Amino acid sequence: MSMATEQPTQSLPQGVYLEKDIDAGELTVNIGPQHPSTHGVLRLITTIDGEVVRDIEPVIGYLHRSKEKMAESRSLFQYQPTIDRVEYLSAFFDHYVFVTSLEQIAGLKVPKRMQYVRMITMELNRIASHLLWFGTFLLDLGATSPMFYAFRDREKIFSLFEQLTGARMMYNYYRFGGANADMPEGWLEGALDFCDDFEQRIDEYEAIVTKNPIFLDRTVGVGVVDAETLIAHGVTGPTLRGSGVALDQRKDNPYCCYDEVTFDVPVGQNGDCYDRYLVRMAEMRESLKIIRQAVRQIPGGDTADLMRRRAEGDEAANDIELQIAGQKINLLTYKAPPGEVMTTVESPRGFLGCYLITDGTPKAYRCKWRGASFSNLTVLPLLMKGRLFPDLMAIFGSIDVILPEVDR
Amino acid sequence: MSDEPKENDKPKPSDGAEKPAKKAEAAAPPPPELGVCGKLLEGAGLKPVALPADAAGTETVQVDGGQLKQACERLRDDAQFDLLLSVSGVDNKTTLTAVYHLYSTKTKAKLVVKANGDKLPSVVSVWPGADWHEREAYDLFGIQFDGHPNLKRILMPDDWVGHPLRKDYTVDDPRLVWNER
Amino acid sequence: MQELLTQLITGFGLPAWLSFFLWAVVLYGMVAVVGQVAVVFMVLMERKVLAWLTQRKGPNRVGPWGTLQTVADGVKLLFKESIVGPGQDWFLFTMGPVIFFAPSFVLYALIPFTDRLVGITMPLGLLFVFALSSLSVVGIVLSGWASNNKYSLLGGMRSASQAISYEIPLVLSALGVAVAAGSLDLKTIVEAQNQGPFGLFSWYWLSILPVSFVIFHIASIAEVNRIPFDLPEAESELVSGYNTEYSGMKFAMFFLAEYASLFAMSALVVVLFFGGYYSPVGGLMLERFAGVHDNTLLGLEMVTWTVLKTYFFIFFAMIIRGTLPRLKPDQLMAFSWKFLIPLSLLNVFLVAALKMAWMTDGMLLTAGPFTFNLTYWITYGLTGLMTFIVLVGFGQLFGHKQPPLPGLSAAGP
Repeated sequence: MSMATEQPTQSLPQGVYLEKDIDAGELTVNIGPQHPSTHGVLRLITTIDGEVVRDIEPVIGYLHRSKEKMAESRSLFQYQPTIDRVEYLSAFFDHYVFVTSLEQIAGLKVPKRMQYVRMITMELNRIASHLLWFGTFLLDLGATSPMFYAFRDREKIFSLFEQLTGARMMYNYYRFGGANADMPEGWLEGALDFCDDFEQRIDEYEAIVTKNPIFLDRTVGVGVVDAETLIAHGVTGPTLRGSGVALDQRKDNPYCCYDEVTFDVPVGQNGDCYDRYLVRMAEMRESLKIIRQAVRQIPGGDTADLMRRRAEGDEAANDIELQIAGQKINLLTYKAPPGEVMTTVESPRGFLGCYLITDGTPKAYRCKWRGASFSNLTVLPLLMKGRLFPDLMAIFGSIDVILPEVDR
Repeated sequence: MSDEPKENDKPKPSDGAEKPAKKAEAAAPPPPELGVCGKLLEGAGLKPVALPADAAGTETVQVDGGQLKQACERLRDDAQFDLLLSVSGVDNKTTLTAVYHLYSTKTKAKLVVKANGDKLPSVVSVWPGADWHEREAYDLFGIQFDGHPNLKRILMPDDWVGHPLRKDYTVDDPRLVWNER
Repeated sequence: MQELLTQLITGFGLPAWLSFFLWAVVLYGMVAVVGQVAVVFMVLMERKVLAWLTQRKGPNRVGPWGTLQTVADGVKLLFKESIVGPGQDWFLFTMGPVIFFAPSFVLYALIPFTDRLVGITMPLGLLFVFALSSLSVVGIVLSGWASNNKYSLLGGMRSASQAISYEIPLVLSALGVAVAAGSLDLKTIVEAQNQGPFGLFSWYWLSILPVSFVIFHIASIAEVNRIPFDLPEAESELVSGYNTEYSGMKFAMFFLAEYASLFAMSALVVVLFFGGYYSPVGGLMLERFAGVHDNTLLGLEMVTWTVLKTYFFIFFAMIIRGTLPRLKPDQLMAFSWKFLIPLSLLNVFLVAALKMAWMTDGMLLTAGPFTFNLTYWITYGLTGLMTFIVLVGFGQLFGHKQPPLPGLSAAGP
């Protein structure tokens, strides 16, 4: 039941996406910067012929907030609160790459307990980010209700984060060598409760969406792309895994304590929007698995136990691996030794990287952000050529671009 | 406050090929040797220069600007570096440097390639994903990438003057309101 | 009432023909008032139903339980500036909402709420209903073009193609009703459905025309541009489609007319397939169980049944809106042309054949209510069999084939 939906077989002439000699029957529609489905302020110069998209050229930079310039004009510690805004839907990942970059340069050791806390928070944040994607993706396809359900569960995660960090979206929780504070008492139990609750919720979502005939019509066979093209364009994350490549930093270069938990990397087979949807839904389940194992294995256990053991004079409870920060540094006057490193993390959208160069002053010499969305967005014109106009929303939604990360 | 310098002097972890900072200052470090990829490039008739590995121990090579494209092709075809993570511009006050972070989805290896100069060949034909990254480096640093199909500003407005992330860049544009004070 | 008006007019010494026009004005005014009240209630109901579906509270600040929310919204829209931008054709820009608005409310006048309470009784009522309902698309196309906005233009074009595609199954399925009832008069159609012995189950939706009912209901949702057929104003694609550029009262007219046509279409489903103003047990409950023969009381019961059934279908449309995603234009067209239209053509043929076999009194199945007749059983059995064959056969031939679910292979640790 599809009309003229020819699949792009060859790539576009590089970079020149908008052909200037417009045919009489073609119409140039300027989608954005303000549009309900551009997920921020993205401008897409789209040439359509009837409902068929002929050309599309993304124009970015509307949300450029000079994050890289800011890094060079203030101390590392002063810069830290602002990097939540690089990718605000999964702010823990921003912090993780930045903090880890500096830890590697300075040789700061992170206590194991804090690494587990980082792992739990990042996985919770991955679920929150995927939930927002789930809601907005279906909203782009015209279904309004999933958005509200997704936000309901996202709020539960945010309440957990609020207990932990005091903020719901801009956490500023990790510190060089550890974190801001230990978990509140009973927080791990709250995380487990969320896992139990969310496991049923995600079954509900899958029940209403996964086999919905209209949803299948809109996503199956739409935006098919092979893995080689995606890798050549630098696309990573669930978008790449939907095309069948099990590329996951958590498996390949385990950071935190991902080598101490077992989980699977879901991959799709056909590389269409539907597979990307399935991969993300499966990833949320895998995240639940990781959180459960991490809560079970975390050194020191719940903070209440740890405090009690310390009060009772248990020497083992004062172990360095159970401290909030392994080495105490004065953050206000801290001068990082000269060095450079690029740290990448498996963010909900792919490889999120921070290339940090320090020169012995309190400021960073250079701080470059490698946003996953920045690279993922480059593949959109390729996927859209020759597709129908409504497919734009399905495809754009399925590669999960978040504009603050693109523009930084 | 008092223990701060001590903390700074703490040695780095011994996992990488890194030398402790103290020793590096005292005695000149031995020149780094070419790693696997560096030797591969050397074998292909190119002249890579080994640089000290970064803090995570990733191999770093410097390539002459004129040989950058051949080097990248070799690295993609022979060393399976199929994923270009990013192209970052860096202003070293004397020269501009483009830093290419490569990743292999097959061998999971990482590599850093550096090339100096404000005029470099574009690697868009090697990795199509370099398109926007090179535009960004051009926009923020003014590095000219020869052979780039569409080299124009990407983050800053099209009529912006100067390249903001250069170290000699000053914000004295009369059009900017915050300069009126 | 018309007579009263005529007496009044002639009493003032004015010519009698003036009363005809005045009556039209009065009638339309009455219909519009009733329609507006219904719409105001429907908007509130929609917001409450959608809130209920998405675990929210819905409007709960203005008035008790938020009941005055729609009134507040209406007043706000009334006082907002009605912007006409440069490059927009002022005349067509204004006429668009008017042409969209007027037919939706005239439809109310044709719905038989009781056997007497009908605004306009005409022997060709069914035909007139379709003529009016397809008129409103002209308003959408006009406003889409006059807006000087590409999204609006696309919305208008989509609306036109959608209207062309879905008018046909709509009319063809209603043709089955006309054939079965032997009339185009809406009141006669309602009366014809009351002839069966099983009340609720002898109405057309189940007894003779189940296929027609399904097609008509789907096409009526498409006709009023609601999810999953809301392509002309697809929010995530076309911002707001044909009404992107509208503000103030002009926008309110689109808004009101959409709900008015939803009410009218739901009422039409009730009239054509759901026994109109009759109770689900057949006949009228007051008459049958309490022996009431007072016309006023019986009329009240009839109105109650019509409105209740209508709101049931409105509620159904709201649940659909809260559940389903939107179709693509090509899928929408394919669904109509490849599935609904051949099916409804076949359905008309089958109903006609059935009628040739068991026709009495110009209607299919007339034996008076509450009687038993072997013909019914044969007819029901045959209809059921035919429906099953038709639906399964068409589903196999043209229906949506669910693609195999691609599994996920997991890379082990």
